[in-house]
Amino acid sequence: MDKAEAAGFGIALVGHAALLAALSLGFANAIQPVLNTPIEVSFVDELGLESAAPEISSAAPAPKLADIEGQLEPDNAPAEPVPAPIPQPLPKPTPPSPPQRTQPTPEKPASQKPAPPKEIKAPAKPATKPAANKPTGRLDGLLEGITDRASNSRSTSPPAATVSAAARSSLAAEIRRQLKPHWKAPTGADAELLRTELRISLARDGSVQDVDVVRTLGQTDSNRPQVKLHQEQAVRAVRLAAPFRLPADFYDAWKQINTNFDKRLAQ
Amino acid sequence: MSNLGLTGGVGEAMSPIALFMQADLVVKSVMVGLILASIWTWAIIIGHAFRLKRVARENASFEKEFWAAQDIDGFDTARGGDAWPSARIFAAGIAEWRRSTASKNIDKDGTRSRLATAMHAAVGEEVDRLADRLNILATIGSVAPFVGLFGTVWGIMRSFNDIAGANNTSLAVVAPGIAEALFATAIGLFAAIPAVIAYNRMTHGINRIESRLSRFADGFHGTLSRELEHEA
Repeated sequence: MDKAEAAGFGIALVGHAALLAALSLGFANAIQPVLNTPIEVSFVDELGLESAAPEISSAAPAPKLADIEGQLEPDNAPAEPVPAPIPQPLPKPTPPSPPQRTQPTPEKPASQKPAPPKEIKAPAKPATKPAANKPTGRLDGLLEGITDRASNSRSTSPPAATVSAAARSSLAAEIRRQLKPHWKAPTGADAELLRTELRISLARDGSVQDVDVVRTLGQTDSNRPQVKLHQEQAVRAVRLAAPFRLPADFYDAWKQINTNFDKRLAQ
Repeated sequence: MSNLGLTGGVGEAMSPIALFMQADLVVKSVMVGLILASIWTWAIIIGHAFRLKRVARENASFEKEFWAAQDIDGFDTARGGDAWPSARIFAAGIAEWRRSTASKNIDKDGTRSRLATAMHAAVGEEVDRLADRLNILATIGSVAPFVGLFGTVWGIMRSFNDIAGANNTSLAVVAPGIAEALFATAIGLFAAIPAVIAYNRMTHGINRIESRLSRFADGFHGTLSRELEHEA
């Protein structure tokens, strides 16, 4: 190895070391790892065909039957500070009205009957104002409904538009499970062909409010005598199974249910 | 390889030292061998470049002085001891000349033939000396890619084993092993490409020097041949 080769060897060694250092530092500094924040993904294998999102139902809720939140007992003490401002507006509207009402019936003393209700109603209105401020302990009439407008609905819970198909089918399965021990199908010729459909109205506590027989399918000449018994047994099974233990969150889904009673339910 | 480079960041995992440290023992030895080959290649390239350049320059100046010189014996005493190829060819020719013309009866044809043979042998020796180690460049240039490929194949086999063991085929698991295996091929190419280029270039340079030395030897042979006729 002469001088030129030794010099070449030294230069090559230094060059490789410099290149390695440059790559190490350059790679470590230049390439910044792009770290995306991970996204949580869940795989859903159950798909409801209907939207189960909690939309507000278009059906109006049950009306408030009582105009007032609760009648104040006349012996309630806390009303004392209030009367001072109240009597002033009261006399003014009341005097004009009694003369008008009394005019058509001036002769008969029976006109006293309509008059007292007016007087009772009038004090009732101011009484509501202190009731709103101070608890009276009386809750009568509070839960009769949630809207002031007229509606034929009996629902007093804020209803969702739909309940998911999965929840609906599991509720139906649960109702059938609770009905099953109490259902005794009548026996006889072709009795297994009968299928009675009941419409059951349930209260929020699971008790039965109403049971209607919708229809009985599968009637033949031979099992026609059994139809009445079949329907009675079905209604009886519902009465025996009550109260139903169902999740109150889904009350709107099971407050009125149609259930079939047939051979399969008995098995 | 055991942690598959998942603990470090991407930048850390991609640095050459980290890639080397993660590698298998076989791949490591391949990488070390290829880096040593690369260093050797560059040592030969740099050393030979210096030497060839210097040889060409010294040959040119020697020949220029030779053709300008009037007295061959005087030039011999002045420059005959130089260590450059032209000087050695000149010294070989002069030595043969003195051996052939030492006796009384000079065989002119035999002397010319011996002069030609001696100087041709000197040219061949000088070219051999210059071309020394160029075969190493050729070897590295042709073999280094295969060695790197061997390291890559071995490393990828290993990383596939690890992937099968991890039961996970996400890119974060697969990529570091593949990258570290490919790093072996990268080093192999890094060593081979300069070696091939330098081999071709230096072979060409040495061929030029050889043809120049042959022309000088022929010219010197002509001069000596003319001297031989004057002697008679």
